[in-house]
Amino acid sequence: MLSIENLTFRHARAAADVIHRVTFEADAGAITTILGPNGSGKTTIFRCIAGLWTVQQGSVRFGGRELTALSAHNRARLIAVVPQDHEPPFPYSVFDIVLMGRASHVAMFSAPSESDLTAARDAIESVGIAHLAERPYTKISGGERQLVLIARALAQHSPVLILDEPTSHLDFRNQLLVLEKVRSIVIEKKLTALMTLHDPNLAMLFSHKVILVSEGRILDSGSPEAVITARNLHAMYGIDVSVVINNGVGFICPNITHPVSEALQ
Amino acid sequence: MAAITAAPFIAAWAALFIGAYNLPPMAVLKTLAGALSLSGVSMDSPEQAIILDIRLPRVLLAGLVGIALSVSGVTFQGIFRNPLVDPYILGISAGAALGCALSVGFLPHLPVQIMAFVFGVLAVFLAYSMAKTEGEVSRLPLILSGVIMSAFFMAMVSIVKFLVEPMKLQNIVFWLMGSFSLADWRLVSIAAGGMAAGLVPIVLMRWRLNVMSMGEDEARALGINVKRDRLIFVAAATLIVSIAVSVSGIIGWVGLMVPHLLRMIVGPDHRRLLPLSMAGGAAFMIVADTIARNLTNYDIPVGIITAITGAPFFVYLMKKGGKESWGK
Repeated sequence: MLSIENLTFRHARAAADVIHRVTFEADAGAITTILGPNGSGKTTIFRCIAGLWTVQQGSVRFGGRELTALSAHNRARLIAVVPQDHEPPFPYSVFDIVLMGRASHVAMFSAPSESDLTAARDAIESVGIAHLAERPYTKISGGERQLVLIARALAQHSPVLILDEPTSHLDFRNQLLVLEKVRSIVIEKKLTALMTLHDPNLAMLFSHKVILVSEGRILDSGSPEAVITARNLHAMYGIDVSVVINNGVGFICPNITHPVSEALQ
Repeated sequence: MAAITAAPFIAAWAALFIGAYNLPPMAVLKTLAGALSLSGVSMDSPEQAIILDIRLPRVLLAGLVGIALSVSGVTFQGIFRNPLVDPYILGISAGAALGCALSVGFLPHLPVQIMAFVFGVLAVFLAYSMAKTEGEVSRLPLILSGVIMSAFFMAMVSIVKFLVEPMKLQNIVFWLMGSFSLADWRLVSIAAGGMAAGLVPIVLMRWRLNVMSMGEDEARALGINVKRDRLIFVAAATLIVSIAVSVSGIIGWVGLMVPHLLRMIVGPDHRRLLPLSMAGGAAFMIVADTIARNLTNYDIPVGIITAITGAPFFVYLMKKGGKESWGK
């Protein structure tokens, strides 16, 4: 279990906290989603847990172990990060990119061993992109790249997986494909997965637990059905919505008629 | 790949047969065979002197400097995530040149390599800090700050030239042009020793260049101690460039051209790219120097040959990469 307690972060020389006393837990074998509008602090929470920013206060624990003070090497053994897709300066092959996930297992003055190559191959296999292994990462689609980054995180063999808006650059079909893949892997490998999303419908469909973040604080948390309600969404986005049940799953529809600008005020 | 690995040996072999003093190939072979068998029969013939004391050290020195320049090019391109930089463009060569000039002019008892390294490090540090905005180092600012550092350090070199005595001035001017005409066994051993110290960590850690070229945040999330590793790479690469500059002056563009051509052939994975850049750099430099010393009746500085090929190459890369080569 990943437990976040009283996480507080403020930029150097800034007057106010970006996130303030954020506390929640994420379970193994489940996806916990941080949902919130742009600027709500969800990316800050993500970066603090990933260790990219140093928190002023609070703790991040996994299995009783404090992570905030760990070295990059030791943290990577526990947390694998799936960043947002970006173009590397050189056209590495998909396999080379996935192999980078082994960096925390390869000693400083050596190259990846046979077991590292096997770990990378297995990760590629488990995400179902073996056919892409030798293709240049710069020449595949956005959805495929996201899967490559997920494979790289899996090659890391870390028990915690955190994903930063894994669907942000993807089309409708790829959003569903990528998240379904994440969900099945997380359940199968009993990973503790934490991801940020900004689409409440995707959060509803794919999460086991949802944390709503607004203005740097937690608004509500719990099962998706209990948390993604018309009332909470109105509080977060200022939009009047209805939750419609479709095939047993809640679906969020904005209650707006044209002109839309009236509803958004 | 085998062809690339064999290239420097073929180039070196061929270069031994070519030179201003026309030696029949049989004489060259005979001398080499004699030297290899260590027959003890010292035949102080002019052939022997030309081959063993002039051509051989020169070919070896050219090969070593070629290795130094292309390996440091690969390293800087990887850690700065910028395919358009090399030690020359970053201003490191100019910094090291200033160190050497100061040393030759004012500190005759200190090995020139020490000041070359100090000023090389200063140059890369300044270029990097100038280019850094909000924790990011983008491509164009890094190139610009390298150009600025280069201009600044070359101006300082001019001041040194202005101040030193005429005899020393001649030395500095001649050496600055970038040439292997001063090659002897002493320079070969300095180059080999100093470069080994820098090359060993780079070669052993080369896979990490893949990870570090993904960017600071990503490398750190993958478990790399970015600050420590970057320091090692920069220090090691700057050391080998400083040594190269101290033995052969400023030779530009090699660190840009060789890695780029090899990346097109063998791909960007540094596990392959780095060793093959050593081979490619050595071969390129030996060929360029053989051309430099045989093209005319004069021994033209090899830096001129590399600049004549390198500048158009840079323009080609820039045009090919389009707008993107200037982006993040």
